[in-house]
Amino acid sequence: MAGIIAQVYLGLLLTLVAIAIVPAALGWHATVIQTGSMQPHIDPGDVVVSSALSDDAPVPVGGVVQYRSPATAEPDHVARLRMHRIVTANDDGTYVTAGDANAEVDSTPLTREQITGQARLLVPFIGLPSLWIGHGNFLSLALVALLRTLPPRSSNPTPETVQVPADTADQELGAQLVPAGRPEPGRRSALALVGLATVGALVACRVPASTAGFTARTTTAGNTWTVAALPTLSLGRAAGYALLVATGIRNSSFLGTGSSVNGSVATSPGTSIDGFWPWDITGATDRNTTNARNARSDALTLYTALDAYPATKVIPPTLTGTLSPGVYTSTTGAFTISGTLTLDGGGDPSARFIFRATSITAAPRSTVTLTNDAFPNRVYWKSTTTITLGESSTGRGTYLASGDATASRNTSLYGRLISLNGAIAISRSTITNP
Amino acid sequence: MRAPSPRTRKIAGLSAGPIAVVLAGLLVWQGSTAAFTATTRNSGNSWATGQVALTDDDRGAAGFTVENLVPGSTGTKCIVVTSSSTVPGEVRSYAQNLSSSANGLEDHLMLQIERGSGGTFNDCTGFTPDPGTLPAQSLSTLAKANRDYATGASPWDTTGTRGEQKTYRGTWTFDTTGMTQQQVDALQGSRVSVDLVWELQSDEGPAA
Repeated sequence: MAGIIAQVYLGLLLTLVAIAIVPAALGWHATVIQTGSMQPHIDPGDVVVSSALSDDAPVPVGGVVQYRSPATAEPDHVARLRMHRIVTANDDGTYVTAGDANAEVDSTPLTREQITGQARLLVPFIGLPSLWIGHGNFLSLALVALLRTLPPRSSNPTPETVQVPADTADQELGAQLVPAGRPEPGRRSALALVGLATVGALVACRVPASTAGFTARTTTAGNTWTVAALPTLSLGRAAGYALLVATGIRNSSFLGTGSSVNGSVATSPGTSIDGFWPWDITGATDRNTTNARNARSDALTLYTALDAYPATKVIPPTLTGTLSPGVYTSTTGAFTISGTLTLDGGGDPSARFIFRATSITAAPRSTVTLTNDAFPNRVYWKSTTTITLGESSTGRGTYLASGDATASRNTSLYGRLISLNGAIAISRSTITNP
Repeated sequence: MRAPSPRTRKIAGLSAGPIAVVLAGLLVWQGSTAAFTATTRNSGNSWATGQVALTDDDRGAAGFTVENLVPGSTGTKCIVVTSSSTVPGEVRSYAQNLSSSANGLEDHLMLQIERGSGGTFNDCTGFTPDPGTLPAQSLSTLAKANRDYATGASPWDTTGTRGEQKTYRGTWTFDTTGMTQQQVDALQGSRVSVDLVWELQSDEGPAA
């Protein structure tokens, strides 16, 4: 019986080899699988026979395909053939592939052009010798070769009755007395030859190899960056007022010359506005009217909102020279404007300047000028105590003081002077609401 | 034991060939059917857990969760990636799942990833970068240029030693250079989010 088993075994091997090789005549091609990321169904050493994917055939989603993987997509930078399963189709016409044994799908999408074949037949183990040779595993190869070429043990102990060759159809059913020694060695050597041929075929069958490509992945997911939502800076209903005060405004004339205000004047909750001739103020004079109260309310909102903007630069207390847009605080807390301070908008009409200090003083004859699209409505001066504009100084922007604000003699101000909790004193000054 | 009769032997001899062919056919048929018509994936088995695996030390937390950005804000974070693979391969990093904001915050969030050693998820102290780091790029550029394994960046060739590690340091900056104040203000409250992925691939099978 051992002889029968041996014959079946060898016949099996031959058939498998044939299945692996013959379809080449039909335009199908075989490949030896090198790695195991398609397990459990496909093991290294199996041969997969694929048919070419014809142009009018759809890409087999759910099926296994062989495809060219470019050098860039390969961990060792060598282009090779891969055999993975197509898992799903993407919206953009590419496909998602995956090795059955990998926890993750492949991250590189597959295009139709890369596909070299669709897997059709799986021929198990046949490619093992080819794989062993590829990996230099000659021991396994030698063992298998040896086993296959060992002649099978004859099942017949007596020389008179021998097994007749299966292809001799005209043999009588029954024992035939044949001289011992003649067919038996012939049979043995035939089987040995078949064994050698099988091994030879397998070795010679250096079909191209396909890799399966293992993948593992780790992710740090959901990294988020959120920009701060800062309160809007707006003058609101205080926009129309050149002077806005809490307790009262006193205008002192000097040598007979008073001040002139191009804009409106308001006090709230106080009601004292004095020292002005009627023609000094072009706009309204609101003593704690609704408009005055609304204006103060919005001015308070603006004052608080200015604190929400983080400082972009902390600079020395003397402000002079040129500055670019930003939020400035002082190293000492206080700011003094000296000489000519140029605020350069850099060509951006939305450019914004914020100066935050414990007190703000404009030195006599100092000037604030604006260039390159810097505008007075986007320049903010905030003092937690007082604001003092020195004699003959020129200021630009919205000046907000918590305490008292003073515009000394011959001050020119293009903007607004606001005292949220104190009084304003001006003398022979010109305030122009932009 | 009685030896099989010549008739039995002949039948057995005659049928050896066909049996072999039928057996072979069955083997191939059964294998092919199982392998090629299965449409559900058998994922996450011993290969992933035992032999080719990559982990990081973030314990599931996101690397970066930054609030209240203002122009010029910057920060840095490290993450240690460990390979427990027993085969050599290559780890590449890339970005995925960029969720963009309405006003293009992703164009102004610059991220630089350096590969090196030292440091942990909570503390970058002791991080030493490897030479040849890429400069910072905006998240939108990163997500387009390095979006999968084939286009992945910063290749780290693993030797197949279980437990080998690399630390990756990410430095981000909210860069508003060249933007008008109006554009900067329009970004207030915007949010952008992205996944950072490290993938190890190996073309060799694990050693038997």
